[in-house]
Amino acid sequence: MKTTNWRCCRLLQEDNMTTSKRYDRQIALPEIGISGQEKITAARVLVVGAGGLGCPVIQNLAAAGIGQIGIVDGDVVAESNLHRQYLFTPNDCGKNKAQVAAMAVLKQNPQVKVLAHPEFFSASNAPEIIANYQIVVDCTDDNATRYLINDMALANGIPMVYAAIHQFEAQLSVFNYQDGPSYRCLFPEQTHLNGLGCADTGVLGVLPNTVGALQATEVFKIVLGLVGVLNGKLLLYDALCHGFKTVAFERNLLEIEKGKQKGKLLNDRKAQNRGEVSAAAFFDALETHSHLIIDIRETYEEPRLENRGIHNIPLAQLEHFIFGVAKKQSVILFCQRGNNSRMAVDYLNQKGFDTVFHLSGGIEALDLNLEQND
Amino acid sequence: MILIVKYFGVIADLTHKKEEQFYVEQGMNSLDQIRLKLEKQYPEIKQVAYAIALNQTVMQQDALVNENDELALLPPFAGG
Repeated sequence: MKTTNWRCCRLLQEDNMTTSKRYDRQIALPEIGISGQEKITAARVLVVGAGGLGCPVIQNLAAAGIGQIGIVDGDVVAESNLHRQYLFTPNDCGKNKAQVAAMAVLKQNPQVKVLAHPEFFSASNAPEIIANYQIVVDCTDDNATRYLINDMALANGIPMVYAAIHQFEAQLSVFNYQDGPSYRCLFPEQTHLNGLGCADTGVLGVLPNTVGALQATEVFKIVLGLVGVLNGKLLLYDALCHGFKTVAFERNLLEIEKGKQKGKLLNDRKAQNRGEVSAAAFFDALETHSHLIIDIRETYEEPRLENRGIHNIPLAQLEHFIFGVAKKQSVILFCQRGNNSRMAVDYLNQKGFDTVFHLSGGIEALDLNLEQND
Repeated sequence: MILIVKYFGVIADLTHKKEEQFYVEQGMNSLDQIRLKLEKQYPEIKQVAYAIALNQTVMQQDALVNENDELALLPPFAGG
């Protein structure tokens, strides 16, 4: 089996498909091979927090060639970080962690794409940041952000690789994986209670590095579709006795729904801020006549939406049409795929219309079976 | 009956132990009853959110406990 993979490996290099000898040793594993390396190269992973856990996670993901790594952290490097956050040097003190980590890791492996988000992960930026990733890795040091990560992961249907440490102990799990339990299922939110971060309790530098490597291992298992993902299992590690213990936990549908709704609310708010409406909101507006709804496609473009509430005004005639419309009128525009309508929103905004939306993804994103005819 | 109780994270800090044999009276056999007895003995842990695993599985408060069962008190960790 290994021989086959070595041969594949050479073919891979000859074809110049996924690159160089860099990944030979992992491609040699029967569980990875060329197809596995392609999955690693195609993967997009977001790491929230570039501290004790984040640094080893980022280093391990980049070294193995994860295609796109996002790094979120609004904090700056401090001297007290250096004993455990090996991506940073004394010269980096005072600089943003996400940016320094991105630069350092690009030196480590120039083949990966690294995006630095030099800001704290928050309700206002989370929807925008997380939208393009397939896996989110929680390397934060506060539980409020953990609930936010969990809820965004639920709303976006992506797994969350969790780890956290306390002195010589660590916890590790994977949430929202293949409809498995979420962080809220294990720890329902209790706002009056909180854990303690490293600054409060102290930490030996090797512990987050050990645990970050374990987190990265879970990422690879997910990307490669391997067995043994910590789905519905909480791994407990004690560095003093090198004890590993696993406890099982189950889904709590109420907690999952609560998290999903919170995440969706933030996603919807983001969409509204961009002037977008979802398909559901579009049909709702059609039914309630709450907005002036304009189809800006050419009249030959199919499929047509037959509804008395829709005005068919091709883009070229829009300027003339809106001349007679009050500026305070709420408007929803739609086109075939959502591109022209997005530009038309900007145009109407410039003309003084304040409440203008467009249908995200255009008519092609609608499930016309759900259409509400009047 | 005697139970094995394991303490993790900040709860181990508050109880000053990682594990102990814990005696509960006859008739006290639901997880919730045992939690209340533990919180009576260690009042400070009431300030901490935690899940309870019974024989390596996180259980609801009404789960029944038997002689020599192992309980684990699992608070969420925050450090990263």
